[in-house]
Amino acid sequence: MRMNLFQPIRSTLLNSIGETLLFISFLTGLAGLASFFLGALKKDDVLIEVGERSIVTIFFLLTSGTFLLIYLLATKDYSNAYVAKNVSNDLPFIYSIASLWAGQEGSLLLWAWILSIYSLILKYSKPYKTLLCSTQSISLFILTFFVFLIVFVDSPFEVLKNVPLNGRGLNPILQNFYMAIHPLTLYVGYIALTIPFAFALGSIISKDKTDNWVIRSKKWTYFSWIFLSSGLLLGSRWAYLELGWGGYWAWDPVENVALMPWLALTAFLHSSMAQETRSLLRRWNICLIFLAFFLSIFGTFITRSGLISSVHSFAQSSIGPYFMVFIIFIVLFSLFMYQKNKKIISSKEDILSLLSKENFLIFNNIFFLVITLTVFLGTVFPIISEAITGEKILVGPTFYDLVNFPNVLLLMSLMSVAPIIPWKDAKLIPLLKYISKPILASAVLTVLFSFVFASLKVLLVLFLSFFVTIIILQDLFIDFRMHTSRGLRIHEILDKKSRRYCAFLIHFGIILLVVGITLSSVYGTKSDLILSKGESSVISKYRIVLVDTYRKESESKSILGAKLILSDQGKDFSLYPEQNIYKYEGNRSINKETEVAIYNTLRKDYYIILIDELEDGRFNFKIYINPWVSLLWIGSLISIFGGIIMIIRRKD
Amino acid sequence: MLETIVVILITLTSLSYLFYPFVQSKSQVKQVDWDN
Repeated sequence: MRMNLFQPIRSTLLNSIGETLLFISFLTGLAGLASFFLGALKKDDVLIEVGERSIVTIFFLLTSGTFLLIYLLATKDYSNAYVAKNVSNDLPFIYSIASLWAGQEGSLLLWAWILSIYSLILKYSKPYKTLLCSTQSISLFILTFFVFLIVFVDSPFEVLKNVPLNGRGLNPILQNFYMAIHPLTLYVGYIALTIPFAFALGSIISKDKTDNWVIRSKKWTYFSWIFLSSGLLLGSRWAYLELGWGGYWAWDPVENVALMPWLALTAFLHSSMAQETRSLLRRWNICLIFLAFFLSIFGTFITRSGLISSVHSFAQSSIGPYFMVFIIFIVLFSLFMYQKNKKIISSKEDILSLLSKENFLIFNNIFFLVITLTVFLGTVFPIISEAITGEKILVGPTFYDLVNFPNVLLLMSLMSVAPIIPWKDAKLIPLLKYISKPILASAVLTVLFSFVFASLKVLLVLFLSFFVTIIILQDLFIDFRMHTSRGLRIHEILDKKSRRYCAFLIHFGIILLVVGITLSSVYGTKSDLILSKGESSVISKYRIVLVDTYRKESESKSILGAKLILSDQGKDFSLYPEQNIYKYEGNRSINKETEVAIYNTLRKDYYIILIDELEDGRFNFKIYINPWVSLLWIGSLISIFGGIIMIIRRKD
Repeated sequence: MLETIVVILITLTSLSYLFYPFVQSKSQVKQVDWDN
């Protein structure tokens, strides 16, 4: 009774505290920006210290705000509009917490909070030079923009006058482990891009003639790359398990906008090596990191504006115009500063030979950017077509596959030779000699595999995959033999050449990923099947029996399920596809959802969806046999692992 | 009432931390290396 009496007062108080925390964060951001600006202008250490302290203050205020919202979500306090919109009585605790990033307001708060953590880490970077000072002010500017959004546009602490007894709940397709962590992972990666961007722009503003910004932002770029890769992987896994269309990548606009910063960032990770080693491509690297950051903001804009229809349409809101203004401002300002100071950041050396690592890195960048451009054009084409013809024309997977496949092959070719080719000037004859045996061995292996796989596309991919793998193995063998003969132990060799071996590991993971994608897309099969209870059918070489069906009722949903036995070459696999019908409408645009049944093996996935029960009592299924999808997941994990080792091993 | 007190407390704490360098002696403030 006592609790009930004080509940409304407590709720109002908590929401007011939340709003206060955010509002003071915004004012602190403005004060910090003014301090940094005036401090740099007057070269005043006290003002710079105030600017720095504003970052610490914002961090503490946003941390309190974020945990306050988590508390409101966990206790299902429906007096808060955000909680009422994203949580319901039947929602499990873990998804109530994950609702922090399920909606617009919570995502923005989370975004600002993560950026405040990054800015705080940046504060403790040493030595304290003007580069760091300008970098901090840029990250603070971006942070203040996000705080502005949660204070004035979409507050997560809005109070409802009429408190409902139940919230609207989380969209059922988001109630999945992978989906619960996939957006968070992507955010962490996206936001981490702010720091290299701030370093790059900061180096221009502070007229820093050194290559410090690249060296100091390298760990951040790897960090971002690891999280963007993990986010893409988790998103694909979620699509594969939850969306029920048999695939893992649909070239959906929101998938595309997550892929584009990853592509630009990967290009940067390659080309920045030329700057670190030879102080080359200095302007180019700045442009690339600008591009990666702009694309990450563009991605957020596309996801949130609802400009393009997507499977992620649940994330739409009203902040689109604000993002538009922000993107335009930040792009124009960056380009203006770049144009103004570009003489200072020109490269100190020239590329000496066509046959050199730096030149191969340029080719690598070109192919990556062609893929980025393709994905960009495919994503914005519906907007352009609507503006010109009045009709939204969507670009299908065929377009992406057609344009990207040759580029992927070219990148794979580079992946084989670029890591072993020396800087400055390589000699053609020794290089040809070095790669002749791997080429021959790859050709022989490909011919052998041509008895199993007839597709030219697959054989091309396999040839290049063998080539890259054999080159890696050959290089490792020569390295180990040379170093062990000099008395070095294995762990000493690994320690000495860790960066190179990490790159090999990442490349090998990518090779497995490409092979997995190619084999599953070329040899994957899809069939429709209608069965009655006890009936069996044969599709290709698989026999499928519908053994039984069942119905289950829970508080929140009715479940229709089926037990099928799929026989493949004498082996039986039991699969249980289900269909959920949600009783409580709430926040759900759909109230029917399929639970895919998958039996994973290394060689193939047996993937069954229960579409519906027909009027005559029979059941409609979709059966997918997806070969070698496992390589995609394994390859991605190997690459991410390589990235993690790389970041641990870097000492700068 | 309680709401007002909490709001004032948060504001004062933030402000005092933020502007503390103005009352500190200059030698205690971190020095920036202004030469690139």
